[in-house]
Amino acid sequence: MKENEILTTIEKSFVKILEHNNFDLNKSTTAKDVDGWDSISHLLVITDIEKSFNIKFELMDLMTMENIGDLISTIKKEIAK
Amino acid sequence: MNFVNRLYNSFVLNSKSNAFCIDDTFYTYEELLNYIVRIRKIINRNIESNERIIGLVTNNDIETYAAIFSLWIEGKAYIPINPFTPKARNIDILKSTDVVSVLDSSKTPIRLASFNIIKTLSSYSSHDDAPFDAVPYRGNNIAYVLFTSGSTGAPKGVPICFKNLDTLIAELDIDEAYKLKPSDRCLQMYELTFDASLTALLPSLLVGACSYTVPSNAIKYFYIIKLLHRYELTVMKMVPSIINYLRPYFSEIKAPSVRYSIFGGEKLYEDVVQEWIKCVPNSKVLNHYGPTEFTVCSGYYAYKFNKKNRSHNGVLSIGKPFKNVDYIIVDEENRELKDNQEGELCLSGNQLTQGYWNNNKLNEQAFFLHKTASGITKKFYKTGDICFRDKDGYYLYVGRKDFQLKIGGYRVELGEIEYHIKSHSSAKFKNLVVMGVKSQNNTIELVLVIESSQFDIDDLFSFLKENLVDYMIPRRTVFIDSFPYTKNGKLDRKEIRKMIR
Repeated sequence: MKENEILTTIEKSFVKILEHNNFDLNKSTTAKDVDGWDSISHLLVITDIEKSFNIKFELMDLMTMENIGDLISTIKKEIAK
Repeated sequence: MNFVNRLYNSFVLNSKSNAFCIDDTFYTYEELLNYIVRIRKIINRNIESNERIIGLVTNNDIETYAAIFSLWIEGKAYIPINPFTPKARNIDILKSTDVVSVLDSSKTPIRLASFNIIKTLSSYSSHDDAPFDAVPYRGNNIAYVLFTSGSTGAPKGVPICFKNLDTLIAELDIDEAYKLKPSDRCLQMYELTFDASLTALLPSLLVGACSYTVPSNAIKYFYIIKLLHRYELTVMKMVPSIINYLRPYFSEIKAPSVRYSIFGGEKLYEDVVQEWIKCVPNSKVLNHYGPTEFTVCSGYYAYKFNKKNRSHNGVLSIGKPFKNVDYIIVDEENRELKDNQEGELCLSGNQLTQGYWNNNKLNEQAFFLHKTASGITKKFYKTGDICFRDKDGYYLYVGRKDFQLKIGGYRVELGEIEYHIKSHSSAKFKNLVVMGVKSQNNTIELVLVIESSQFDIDDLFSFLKENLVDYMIPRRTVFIDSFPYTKNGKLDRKEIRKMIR
C-alpha cells in the first residue's frame, strides 16, 4: 500500500472522530497542529485506524509515536506482518 | 519541623541525587537548590514583601517547580495558571484573588495585561551559594489557592494554608503502609492546577527520591508507559482514567519495578484493578480519597491481593479516614446516620480549608458545626459525595448528590458549562442539558443535548473554547425537538439518556 493511500485512510478516521476537516495532515503533523486531537480522541482515532487496516498496533509503537510520519510507518510495518 | 524546612533539609542532604527528570533531562537536588536561590532573588527584587499570593504559570520545567518551593520559603502562596486554559478564565481567577504578580518561565511570557509578569527562565547559576534564610514560618499563611469548577458559572477558590499541608504530611508520615525510599522513581503526571500533584511530589522530595514529570501536551497514558518502560518507575500515582485507557494494552505491560500504584481523583473500578495488578505484580495498590477542600487526601483503601475486596456497584471502597480525620455520614438535616445508611460524607480535621475565597454564601452551605460522638463540636465540610460506612468502618462511594462530575480527575460542575452555553448569543433554543455519559472504557464523555431543531454550533463551540477548560467542552452534541418531562414536570434525565444513546 502506498503512503498516499495510507494517508487518505488516516485522514478519514480523523474527520470521522474529530467531526471536522479543518487540518492538513502530512508526515510532520503532530497533535498540537490539529484542533481536537487530544488524549481522548487519540485513542478513538487509533482504534478506528486499526479497524480500517485490520491491524492491531503494539503499545511499544504507540508510546513512541510523535507525528503522522511515525503513524504511517507503523501502519506499514503492521500491514507487512 | 514544618514541611518547608524539611523539604529544604532533604534537598541539602540529597544534593548529589536526582530530584527531577523532565523531558529526559535530570536535575539534581543541588541544581534544584540553585534554581531556588536564583528565583528567590527574582521574587525579592520584583515582588513587594506584603504581596502574599502570586500567580505561577505551570510549565513542565525545573523553573516552575523551583518557583513553588521559592514562594513557600518566602512564606507566599502560588495560584497555578495553566497556559493552555482560556485567557478569560485565567484573568478571572487572578483578579478574584487580587493577584498582582505572575511568575512565568515561558520563552514567550504569557500575555496578561495589567499583571506584573516576572520572567524566571534561565534563572540557573551554579555559583550562587546564598545561604538559606527562610522568612519566619507562619502556619496560617496560605500555601496555594486552587480553583475548581463552580455550578454558578464562576470557578471557586480553595485556599490551603501551610498548616493544612503540614497535617497532610504528618498523616502520610505515620502511615506504615506507604513508605518511600531515596532510590524510588516516582511518577508526577498531574497538572499543577490539580492538587494531586502535591501528593505525587512531596513524599518523593521529602525522602530524596526522583520525580518523573509528564508534559501537559503529551498523550498522557502513552507517555506514562514510556517513562515506566525507560526508567523503571517504582511509585505511580495516577488518575484511574489512565488505566482505563491503557486496558486494551495491559497484556503488553510488565512492570515488576513498581512498588506502589496509587489512584485518586475519580472512581476506581475493581475489575480494572484486578487486571492492572497483573502488569505490576510487586505493587501495593492504594485508592486515595479526598477533596481539594481537605488538602488533597483524607484517607485511602488498600487493595487486598487474592482476597475479597470491599466495593459497591463495582467501585472500590475509599477505605477509612487518616488517624486524625473524622468522617461522618449525614442526612439532609446534617443528622448523623448509622452504618449502611446512605448519606452525604462530611469531613473534619486540621487539613480543612478555612473556606472558599470570598464566598460567604457557599461557605454557609458547605460547612457546618457538629458535635461528634466524643462530645466535641467541630467544623465539618460537606463533600457532596453520597457514601455509606459498612459494619467494619470502611466507607463506600455511591454517587454525587449534585451535578458534579469527574473528568480525568478534574471536578466539573455541569451548571458551569450550561451557564456559558446559555450566555452565548447564538443560544436560540428552548432548553439544554449537559450530561456525563459513561463510555466503553469506563471514562465519562460530556454530551450537550439541545432542545431545538438542528443548527450550526461552530460559533457556540468557539465561544466555549475561549471560556472553558478543554476537559469541560462537550465531546458530542445531540438535538432533540422536545425534551421529555416526568409526571411532576421535572426534566426526565433518565429518558434523555436513553434518547442520546
